[in-house]
Amino acid sequence: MKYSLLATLITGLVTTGATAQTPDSANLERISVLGARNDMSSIAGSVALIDETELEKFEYDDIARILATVPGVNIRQEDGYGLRPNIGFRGVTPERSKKINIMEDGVLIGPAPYSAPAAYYFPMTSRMTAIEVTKGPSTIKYGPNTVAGALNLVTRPVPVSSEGGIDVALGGDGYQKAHSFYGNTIGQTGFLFEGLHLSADGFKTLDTGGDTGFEKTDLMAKFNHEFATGNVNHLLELKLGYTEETSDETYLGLTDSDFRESPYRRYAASQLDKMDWEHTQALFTYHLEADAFNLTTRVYRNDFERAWFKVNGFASSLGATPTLQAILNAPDSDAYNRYYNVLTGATDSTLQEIIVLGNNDREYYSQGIQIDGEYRFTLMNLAHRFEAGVRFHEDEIQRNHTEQRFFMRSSELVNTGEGITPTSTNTEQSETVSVYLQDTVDLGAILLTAGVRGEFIDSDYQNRTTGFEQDYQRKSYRIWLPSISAYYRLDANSGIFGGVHKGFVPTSPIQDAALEAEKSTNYELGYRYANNGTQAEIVGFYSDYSNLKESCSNSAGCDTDEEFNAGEVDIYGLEVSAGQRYTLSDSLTMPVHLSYTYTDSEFNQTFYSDFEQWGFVNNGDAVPYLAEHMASLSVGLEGQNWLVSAILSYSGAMPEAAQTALTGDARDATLAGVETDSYTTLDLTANYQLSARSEVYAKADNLLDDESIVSRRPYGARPNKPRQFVVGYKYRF
Amino acid sequence: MFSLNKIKQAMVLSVALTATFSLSGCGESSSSEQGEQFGGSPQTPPTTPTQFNQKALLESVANNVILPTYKLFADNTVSLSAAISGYCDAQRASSNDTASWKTQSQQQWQDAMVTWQMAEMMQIGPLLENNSNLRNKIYSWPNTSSCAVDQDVVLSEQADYDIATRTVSRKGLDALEYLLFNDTLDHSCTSFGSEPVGWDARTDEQKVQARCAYAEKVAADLTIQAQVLLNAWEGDDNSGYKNIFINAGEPGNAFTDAQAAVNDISDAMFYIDSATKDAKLAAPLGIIANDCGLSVCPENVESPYAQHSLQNITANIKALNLLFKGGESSDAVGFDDYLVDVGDSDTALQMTADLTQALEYAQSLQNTLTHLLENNPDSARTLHGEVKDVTDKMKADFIQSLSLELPATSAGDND
Repeated sequence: MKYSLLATLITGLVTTGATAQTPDSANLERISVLGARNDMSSIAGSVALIDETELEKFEYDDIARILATVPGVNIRQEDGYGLRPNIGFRGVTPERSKKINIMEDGVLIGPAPYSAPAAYYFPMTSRMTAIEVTKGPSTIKYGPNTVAGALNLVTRPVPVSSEGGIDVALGGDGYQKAHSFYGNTIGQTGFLFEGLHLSADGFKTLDTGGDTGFEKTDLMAKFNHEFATGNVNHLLELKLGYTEETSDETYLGLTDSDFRESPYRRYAASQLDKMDWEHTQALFTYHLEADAFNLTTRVYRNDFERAWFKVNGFASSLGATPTLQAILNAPDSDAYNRYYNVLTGATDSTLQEIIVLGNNDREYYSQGIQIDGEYRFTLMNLAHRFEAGVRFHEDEIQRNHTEQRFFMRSSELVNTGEGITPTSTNTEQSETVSVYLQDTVDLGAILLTAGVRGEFIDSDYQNRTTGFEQDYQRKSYRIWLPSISAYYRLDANSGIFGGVHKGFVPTSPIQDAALEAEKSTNYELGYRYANNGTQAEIVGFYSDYSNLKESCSNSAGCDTDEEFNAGEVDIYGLEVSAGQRYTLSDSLTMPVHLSYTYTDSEFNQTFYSDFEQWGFVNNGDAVPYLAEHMASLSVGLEGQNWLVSAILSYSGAMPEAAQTALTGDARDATLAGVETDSYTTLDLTANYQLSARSEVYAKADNLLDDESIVSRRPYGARPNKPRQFVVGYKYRF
Repeated sequence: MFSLNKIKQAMVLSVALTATFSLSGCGESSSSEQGEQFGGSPQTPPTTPTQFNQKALLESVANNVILPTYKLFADNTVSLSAAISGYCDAQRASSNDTASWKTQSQQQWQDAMVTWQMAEMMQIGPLLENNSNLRNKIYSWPNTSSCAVDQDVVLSEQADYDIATRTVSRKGLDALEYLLFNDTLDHSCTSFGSEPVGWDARTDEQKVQARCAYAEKVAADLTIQAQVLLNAWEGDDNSGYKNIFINAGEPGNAFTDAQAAVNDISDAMFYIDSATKDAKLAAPLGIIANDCGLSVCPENVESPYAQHSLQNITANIKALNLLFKGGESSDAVGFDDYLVDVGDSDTALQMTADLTQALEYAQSLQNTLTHLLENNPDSARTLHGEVKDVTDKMKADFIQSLSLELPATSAGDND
């Protein structure tokens, strides 16, 4: 009974197509948004699922490495460990993953998805059992951001019988992992406890010595109970989670010249930088299931508190100072050399080179009730699958930003004694109602899906600084976002799909109501083939933005998320993925998977923006931080009790700014004409099963030890993670 | 007890209602309400509707204050250049008049500096273009470097040296101050590899002559820049910036309205806050961090070689007073008149009194600012307080009554 209910919950919630599949054990008990892998072949839209087997193969902690195999995902690396990933889909800015919907078990998991969408909290991917990527018209079910897509992280389900596991690993640069879980179901009641601890000393070397790594701990508990009334089955589940991170992370990178000499160096000025956060979550799920009808209600609450103490820039008691980006871009110039020398600790500060450290202290909450339902019926001899959902959501960010000033004295930061100065003290809050409805009708060879999403957002910004009570804004915004898509079955194994939907990204409460929200019309057309171990998909996409909006957060060098409009922009590209499992012998198989993404973009007008990533933009210039070509090739060999896999990933160079060359104007984008490095990384992993319950594994990330500038933001050149060897042991019971 | 059929019915009904609503044409709508301070707008709008003639204020300030100051400065630079040439000629001839020429050069520098400190309060238009490039060519403080000047003393002896291409910390009034008033003949470069080549091997006489020769080049360049500034404002046939400025808001003009140009003057006047009050007084007093931490630090005064800091501050206050009144004459139109016009006579009177008091106090101080900081820092603190009285009023009533925007440099609070 339990199996059937949960299995139907998964597939029934979202499965596209009229043919419900019998779920296999890998799908059991997870609250998925996509459904079973087999069902995905007839989804009218681009979706991808990375299941537990795939995730365990490489034991990645960094979501960027995991998503490298998914076409249409653009990523800007930052700290090398993926602590705060920058992910975009189909050309939207990857900046702090703010334009995609990040969900855990189907619930928005960003700290404040409406009020402050920058994802400074990201769930630990090491504990996930599946990762689902949705792009195209299917996105309409997941708001508020519909321009790009949704990323759903699926946590471990409560096991149906006594089950546990331990995974321990050690690696270079002090890397340590300890991961364990245990759960059981007794009668109709089940539970699960899971703990994960990750830490590393860091691969960067501070000029003054000291760790540059991190420590993260994640605890999760689940309790569920299942019962039936008549022909209706019910499931109640409570998930509780706690995560904390302390990381010696900085926004300060290097000059290009220093990077080429020593890419993993960190300047003395970043010696006190530290991120410290805590996240708690509670999710209560109630699911009811009948023959042709199911309904899932989720009540959720997430709290996030963070304080990031880090170098913000310079101050002078005598007036203005240049930006860190400008200094690192021209460190030898007369105007900037003295600042550079202070950053590195080579010379002491004078009153003109005081280093400012900001403590960006923020408290967030996100809570709501989300109800999703599905009803299957036949009308005029046509099978319909009708889905609808409503979400009452509220989130808030409270900023309590402060700054302190330091002198560089003999390579140590010494407080000037001026005390702590408040900078931003404000609150942004959003109360929203979202609804969607979608009907999929089976017309024989064609599955036709039409849907609409409504976003009703009431938001409130208030400056909490004494004397600024009148600095507030209240906004109400209502928008309807339609979508239509179709899947045409060519034969039992292949089909053509296409669709169009309205893209939307809301503005945050602090942004002037006069600023237009981001809107686009998104098109896709694709072909999919799937047959016994072979799958292939090719999708062309085109996003026609009537207004591209970017927000400049701390990670881009702004204090508060200031937003900028670029007007009309086109982004288009091609996504290709193909996989085949070759059987070499009775005991040897070779899975091969290739993915490739081509993306191009252009602004449709000439304009100037003081957004540092744009500057002087000419009609036809490309959107920054989009690699034209990205590809990955994974090849494995799997024996009866062992496997070896390799992933070769390539990312092309990306422009650091839309402005293509300096003009000599003082308002030039500092990084005009500068590109990140293109880079190729090779990751290897090998697993050997010692017994039915235990295995050892070894892996090498970035085996070729590629040293590339993956971005020059927030301030200066930053490296990818260097070669890292890890060995680990897993035991299941 | 729930009924499954009822839930189904409710669901279908809600979907139908939603669909109806979505198809009813309400694709997008918005509404908003903002507080008076939102987006940095003034806390309160002008209390009295005004018919004030802002153009008259712009003309008065341009004709009676800004242009006369720039013209005087251009004249000062010509005199300064001539005096330095005389000084260098005397040096080269080993004339007995050398000391007299040097004193004359120093006096000319002081005269030019007093005028420029007036102009510092008038950084509008051409002086601000390209990151204040022209302003920095004339006077780059606080971005100064005695080592950079020492380097160019030697580099300028090369045939292909072109001062026009050199960075701003190597020329201008600040470089001339070092060259004319610093009697230490050793170079000031401390980091390895930055020393001027061959300097230590030179005799004292060679060093003095080399510095003087470079001062001639700097003075000549200063003359050119002063003229560039004047030309930029006057232009040929009234085509200069002044024409744009006084016609602000007229069709085709770069300013959207006259108030925007008035706001540019206001922005310039806030030099009194960020530069005069904070950088020139609060920093050496240790009210904000300086090289001594939070203690009195005489080495952080503005013009340390010429010991001219107090005169600079006095000139700043004087210039602010002139801008506020729109000129010296009684029929000048200034911000005092604007305040009276919008019904805030109290602020007009109070600011006039505060400015007069600050100016009189600055003028009453004897000795240099360095001396005061070392021997009587309370008097310097009092001067800081007098200036702060003015800036407090400017940041509040002045800005609010005239619906002006506070410049970003004064939005933070060092008080």
